[in-house]
Amino acid sequence: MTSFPVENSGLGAAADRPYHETYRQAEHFRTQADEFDAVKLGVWLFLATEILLFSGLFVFYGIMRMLHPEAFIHGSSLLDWRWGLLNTLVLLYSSYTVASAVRCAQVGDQKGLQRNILITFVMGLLFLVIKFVFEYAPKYAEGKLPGFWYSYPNWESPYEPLWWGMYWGATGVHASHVIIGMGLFVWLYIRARKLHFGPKHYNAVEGVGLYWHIVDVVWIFLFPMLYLIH
Amino acid sequence: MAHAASHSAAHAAHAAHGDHGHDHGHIVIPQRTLLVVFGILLLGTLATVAAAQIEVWFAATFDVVIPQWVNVAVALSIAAVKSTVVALYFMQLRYDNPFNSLVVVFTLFTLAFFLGFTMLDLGSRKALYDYKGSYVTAGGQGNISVPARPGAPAGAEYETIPAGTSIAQFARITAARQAEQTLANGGTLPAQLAVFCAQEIQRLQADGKPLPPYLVKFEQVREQYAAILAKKMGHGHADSAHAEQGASANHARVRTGLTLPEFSQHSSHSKDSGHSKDAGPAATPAGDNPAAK
Repeated sequence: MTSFPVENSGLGAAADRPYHETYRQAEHFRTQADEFDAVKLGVWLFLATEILLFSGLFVFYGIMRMLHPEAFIHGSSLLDWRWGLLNTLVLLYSSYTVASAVRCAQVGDQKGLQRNILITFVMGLLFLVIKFVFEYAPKYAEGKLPGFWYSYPNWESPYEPLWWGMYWGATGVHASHVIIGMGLFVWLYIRARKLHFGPKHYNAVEGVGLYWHIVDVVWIFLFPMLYLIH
Repeated sequence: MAHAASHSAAHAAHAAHGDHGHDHGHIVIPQRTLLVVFGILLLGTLATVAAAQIEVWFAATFDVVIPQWVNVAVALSIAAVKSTVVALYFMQLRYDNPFNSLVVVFTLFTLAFFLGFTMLDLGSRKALYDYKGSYVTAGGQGNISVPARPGAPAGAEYETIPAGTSIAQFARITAARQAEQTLANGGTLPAQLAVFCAQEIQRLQADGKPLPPYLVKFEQVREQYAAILAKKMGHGHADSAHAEQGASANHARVRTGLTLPEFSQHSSHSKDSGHSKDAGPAATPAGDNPAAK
């Protein structure tokens, strides 16, 4: 068993027991359950700010689509929904694996936990590769860019730079969340390898999992709103 | 609490203070439930794609105009169901401390408030006074500096969009410039510029204007782009009366039920051309065929 120095281990930390068994909550919590609740509430409050961050983009989308439906319909026809569908499937699967990772931590399945974290990371990477190679790169080359950089001549509505602003803004903010999430999964994987997580202590797995699910939920909305307009 | 009692001896000192800890969120969701939820999400994805395809098919087959709100309502309803399933099971809200759900509900209420009132405002501005719903210049004011586009004077880092010309219109000006330079050098046009030239010819012919020299040159070498134009322009006969409908759309599209006044003018003339009407009166002289000057 890998041991780990536990800062607040108090009396009973045995060197031959893994971190998650000897882990004790911070001083100001009465129980680990209290700490778990507090961590989870904190993550949910953070997710609330995330939803509000994306809501700005959704409001922009709603206004612009209401005012310039032609621009959005033609703009959307220039996207290939099959890449969007593939990316949706990739993210849904990663959401499933991250939920499984939480379950593995809860039942103490260390191998399963590590495997699921790794799969989720790979799915995030796959999402970005599809996005950058098959979507961003050709659009960049063709000048389908937001306002200031827009140079695509074959528009049907002169408001199409707004559509591309919407497209790049929404998918860009979302992709940056995927990148941050992948960083968090690297961190989780390293800690999982050190046996930091187990049935009594999996706050980090739970928190990162919630974050990853909200990234997935945002994409669940973005996919039909961007790719399936007619 | 069984959970707390199973902790190490070191925990006892804390527990002595009175253990009112709860086990919220410590429900272990069975793997089978997770799989079923994943399956539901896949079905929802299938449904949202199918709904969009059926909408196109329905509108084309029965030749009806499906209003925009149908597309929006169907897409958002399916997305809402999928998100709810994710939140309830993957994010465990169903088994969780209800306070977390309260946070979510409050956030969604805020979002609805934010979205609803903004759209209500912008959607109803011209309900009383028509001028409040008007636009100054379609697609941007112009007279701004933007990063130099291809074909700009050598060494230029920025170039200026003339006042009254929209960014969209400027994209056509620079495309014309680039096509002119490429054809003058005997080079091959990228697919996008070939389509642009073919569409520009359509637009000029529809307006009864003469073709600038670069488009005349394009007509001479048009055959080499036949494959590209057939693919991108729909019918392969880009100069036919029907080509406009397929122009630059790569799949069938439903006619919209909601259009602004300037666009209803556009669609009523869609058989021939509508480009200069879109760009606003100020943009037309500068944008139509800069290469001809």
